[in-house]
Amino acid sequence: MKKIDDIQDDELRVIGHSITSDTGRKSKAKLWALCAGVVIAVVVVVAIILTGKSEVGPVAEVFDPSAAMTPEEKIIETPWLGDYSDITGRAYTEHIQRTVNDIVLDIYIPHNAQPQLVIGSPDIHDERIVMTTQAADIRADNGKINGAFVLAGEPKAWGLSKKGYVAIIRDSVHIGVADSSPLFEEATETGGYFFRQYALVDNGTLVENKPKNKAIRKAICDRGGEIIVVMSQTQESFHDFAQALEDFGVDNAVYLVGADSDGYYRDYNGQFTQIHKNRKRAEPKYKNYIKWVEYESE
Amino acid sequence: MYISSDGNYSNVFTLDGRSRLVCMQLGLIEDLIGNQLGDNGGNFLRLGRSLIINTDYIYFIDVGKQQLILSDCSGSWHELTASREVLIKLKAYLESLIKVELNEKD
Repeated sequence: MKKIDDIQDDELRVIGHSITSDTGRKSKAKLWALCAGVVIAVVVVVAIILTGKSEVGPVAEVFDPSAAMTPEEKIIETPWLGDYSDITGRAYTEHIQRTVNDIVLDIYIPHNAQPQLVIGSPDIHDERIVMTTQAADIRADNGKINGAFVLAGEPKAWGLSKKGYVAIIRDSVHIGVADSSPLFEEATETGGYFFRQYALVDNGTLVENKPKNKAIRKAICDRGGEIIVVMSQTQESFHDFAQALEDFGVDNAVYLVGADSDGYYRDYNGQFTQIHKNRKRAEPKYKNYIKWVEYESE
Repeated sequence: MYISSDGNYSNVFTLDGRSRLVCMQLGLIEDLIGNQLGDNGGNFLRLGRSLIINTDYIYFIDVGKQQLILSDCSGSWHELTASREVLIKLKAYLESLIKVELNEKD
């Protein structure tokens, strides 16, 4: 790697070529030093050959397990996007960006935190919460939650409005598509959580949805076992957003309330960042969120 | 359009007017461009310690004011500062390219 110091402010270099423009006196000095180095190296090599001794010690070999594996044994895995963190570490949310099909995606990866659903705005001053984002839609006619919803084992809404679902069972997030999922019952039996939304990706394949408008899109995704929240920076159609998720290698994805929906996260340094500012208007009673909360210390 | 150094980080300025702060030194980005584009990376020039520019978007070089303007002639406009010496070399480099093109046409 070229270091930032290997070029002076008065120098110009064509990238991808070995041409270096007029480098001045400093470069001439470097050239002389290089020549001197070559001469010394030649002298040392000749001396080694003449004395018949090798100054070169045993070379350590790096073991590459993949080289010893047959093609059948090589498993193609989706590399994780985020940090590899252990459960004893601090809770935080990692924020990265990727561009897929010219769509810039903000990706939020919670670490060392347990997901939960909550009705009503989470307390932004609670430093144990490392990320929140709105989850299920609210019906415009009666202000209630659209589709089945289970809160800490208690069913709050029933019905099938959208086929995508997110279930949180024993701190584990399950994302899928089904008319009827046994995870609804399991959530009620285990004190878990469940909600429904539009399905975007099902087992690595894009799912088409009827709405054709464009908006900032947000989704909760399972990508090789890694649960991430992905948000488009630009207004996109459902199709384009789901296509970007599919091309990004997402296995399963379910839509989250997008546009300028509320949400925030805290990074590794505890820095609080609001993803979208709260709008100054009446909050629906059943406005609901997924929040990732630091594990309780025992 | 161009990449500017910001300490151990670099700012990538793209044609759509966005900028991205990336956790890479300018030298590493220069290596990446060189390795991935090979000879096609010749569109990119490293100017001194703090700039990599795409020569396709050079609009104006003012050596006196130490100013380099990059533009796509449809809304994207960046006024950069560089040393006189490097701007003189940049002009000479571009002139040499033009001469080569003219000779090839003849």
